[in-house]
Amino acid sequence: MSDRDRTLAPESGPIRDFQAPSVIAESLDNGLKIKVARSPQVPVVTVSLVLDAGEDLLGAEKAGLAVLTGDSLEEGTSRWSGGELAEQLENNGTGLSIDTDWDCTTISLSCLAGRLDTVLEILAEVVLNPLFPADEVSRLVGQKLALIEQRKMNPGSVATDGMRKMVYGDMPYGRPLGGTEESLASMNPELITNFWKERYVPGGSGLVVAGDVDMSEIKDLATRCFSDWEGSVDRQSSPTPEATQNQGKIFLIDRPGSVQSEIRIGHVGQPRETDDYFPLIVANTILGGAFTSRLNANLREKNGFTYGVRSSFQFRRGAGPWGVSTAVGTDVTADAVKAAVFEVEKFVSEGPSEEEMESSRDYIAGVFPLRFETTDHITSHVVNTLVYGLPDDYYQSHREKVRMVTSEDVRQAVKRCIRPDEMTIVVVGDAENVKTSLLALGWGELEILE
Amino acid sequence: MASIPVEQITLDNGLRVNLSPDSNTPIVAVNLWYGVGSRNERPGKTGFAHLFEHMMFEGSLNIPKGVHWELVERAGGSMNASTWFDRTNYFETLPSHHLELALWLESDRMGWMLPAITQEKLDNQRNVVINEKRQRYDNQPYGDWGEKIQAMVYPKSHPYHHTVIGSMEDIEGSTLEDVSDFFKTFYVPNNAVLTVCGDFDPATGRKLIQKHFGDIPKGGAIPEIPGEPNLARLIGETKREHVEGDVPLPRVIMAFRIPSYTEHGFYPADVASSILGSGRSSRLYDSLVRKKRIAKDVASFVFPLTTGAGMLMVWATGLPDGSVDDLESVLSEEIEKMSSVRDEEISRVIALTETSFIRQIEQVGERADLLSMFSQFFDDPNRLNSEVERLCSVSSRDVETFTSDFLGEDNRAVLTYMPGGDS
Repeated sequence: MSDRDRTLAPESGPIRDFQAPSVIAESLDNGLKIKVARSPQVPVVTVSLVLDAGEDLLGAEKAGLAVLTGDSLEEGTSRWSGGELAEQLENNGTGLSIDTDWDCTTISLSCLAGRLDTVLEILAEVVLNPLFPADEVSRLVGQKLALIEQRKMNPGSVATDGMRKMVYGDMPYGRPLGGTEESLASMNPELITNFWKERYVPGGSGLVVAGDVDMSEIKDLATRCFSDWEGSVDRQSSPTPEATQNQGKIFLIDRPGSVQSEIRIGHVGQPRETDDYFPLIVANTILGGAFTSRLNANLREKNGFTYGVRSSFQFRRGAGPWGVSTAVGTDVTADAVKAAVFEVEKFVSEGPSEEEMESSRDYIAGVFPLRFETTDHITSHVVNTLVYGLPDDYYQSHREKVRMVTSEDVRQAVKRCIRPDEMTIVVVGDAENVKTSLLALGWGELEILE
Repeated sequence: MASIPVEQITLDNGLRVNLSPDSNTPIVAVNLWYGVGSRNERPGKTGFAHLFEHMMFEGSLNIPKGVHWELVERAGGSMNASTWFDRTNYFETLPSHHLELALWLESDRMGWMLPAITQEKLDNQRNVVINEKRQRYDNQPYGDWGEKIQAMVYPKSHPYHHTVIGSMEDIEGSTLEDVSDFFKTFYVPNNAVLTVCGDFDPATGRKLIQKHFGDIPKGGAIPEIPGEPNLARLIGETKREHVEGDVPLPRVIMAFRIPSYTEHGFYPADVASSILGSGRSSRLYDSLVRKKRIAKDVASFVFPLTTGAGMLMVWATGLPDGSVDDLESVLSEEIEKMSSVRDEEISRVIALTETSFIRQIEQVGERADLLSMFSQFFDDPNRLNSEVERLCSVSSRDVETFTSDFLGEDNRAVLTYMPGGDS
């Protein structure tokens, strides 16, 4: 045996400074913003083109149009059929990743640095000259309808979709992101083409590149690929939900024979621009954002009710949801709901301890360099600055802002932004087996849905 | 691509160590592979390797329950573990000045886990694991596919016949004595690889590793894998199972026994799988999704397993009105057509694989995991630097030969799901 004392955690070594990569910003004459984050000595380049083409401004009858437009880009251009386009990309060792959410559409790809010129030309062809062929669009719609069938049988999806609907009612955030059976049935190439014409424009969009590249090189390349592109779009205001619908109610969605219950507890949260952003990310880490959070310590590590439980604020342009999410054994469903509500209420009334404050600040500030390890991590952060109107040096001061959050900031923010009286609960499980104990909680009115 | 540097040492207790410095970002990964997985489980004890992995987070002699997570999160690190057929891995990635913390935590549970184990902790983690099984498998449409496919591809006597998650009954029946035996048998330095990768000075790293791991006693010889690990090359027939029930869409899964990852013949299998199912220009996507429009999605995988045989799998999920017969017959046609492969398909697959491999090893955690794997499976971490070359050396002829040897009807398991019943 060695003579060293194993009982004490070792002291940490000297800390090495870390700075988030600095971002250089320019624009083309047509308004396309260009942001370059230089990350030396990496062989891979990631490119993201972000467009103000999210789902949140679409009416119910057009639900899913932004997602479908994004996905239809790959179905052919004036130069290539969908199959040929796939070959072009994959011959260069890459593929498009098209991600449409409530706020925007982001088209990304990563490639070896030497192939950037070719690959960016392909990306421009896809965005500037898509064809949206009718038969390919109808095939995509069919695939999306099939996906809806799949979601109906997945208990986690049923719970998440149910929660959205109960919290937001008829507002856009209340429906599934990809649209509904009704809205998808009315999709056609004309709708898609119009949406593309209106929203896929350089003014209001941004091209983000991370890797071992410099601005002059990227600007030349972008000029070559995108300078014929025209138009701009004014950002309309995002949805501003007033209050949570169905406050104080439990909705039990019956899934006979379910061996677990999916549980969602929550209400309307906060928009990304909230002044409480930093206090809330610290608060969420303590409540349910880390393995050592209060919720996980209780529901998993103390009681063994679940494989895991999380809480989160979904920060969007509008106020996205706040909530708790878990899946628990059928026999402990009511106990788990009770324990989760208990932890939320306790946290709101007592606030964080100083020790929790310290460790959650340390955690968020400490993991920061891990979030900038690859070029696609980096581009996704820079894309966020574009979408949410944050300054180019935003991430340079991120850790400082986290470290400055006090327990009082957290206490106040939590009181404002987590309101136990306004929560709605959705449970997807075997109603026969869980309804009596859920009622016995006396938490609120119970409604059983088939 | 620049070569990844790696220095290998072996401690007196048999612990194999890889050191791979890279000071690009001030973070460091600590990764441990233990040479134990579900293949080492005896009948009646399935799921135990994974349950044991959970117990490894319940504290050790000097680290109370929960403190491992607390310290790593507080340091700004991320961590986890996973259990697979051939191994169990544990990993932390953290700001590099906390390297010693991770070494201390990992060494304490490698050397002194047993004194901290209690019945209460075992009961708790048994419940967590049972809920993991329910959440990931029992309560999911198609959740039993892995269990069914493994049972068809590998005979009852083979250690890959059962799943990693194991059976509920076995998990419920586990005892403290099982935990203790398992630890003493498998969680010994001579059955592990430790890799440190990222921002650290190798001389300091060596010293710290010696300091924390050097006094853990060497264990006994690792017992042979139970059952009958040797296998016939082929399944010998087409086995089938049809499930009608709680699923939303028809789905067909086909699996084939292939050469194990330690054989050169694995690489043509890997390339064949990519030609079939990687990307939108792949044969299955082009045929079933784009042209014939009978599938919502398709996929193909190879399982790089080392005991007896690996596995290649393809699947297709149909559309609401579709039939499994159509899906299966088109899948079979596409598999037969693999008897002829074009050179440009090979180059495309290699271009895709190269990019994804380089993106993977951009991350110190992934790089460390691969170095541990190459040490554990091949006793050669430097194999990381030649892995892409091995793929590049595969010719269209190799893939065609692989097709005729392994993708026939005499080596096939077919699992079909169809919505039905009263659900």
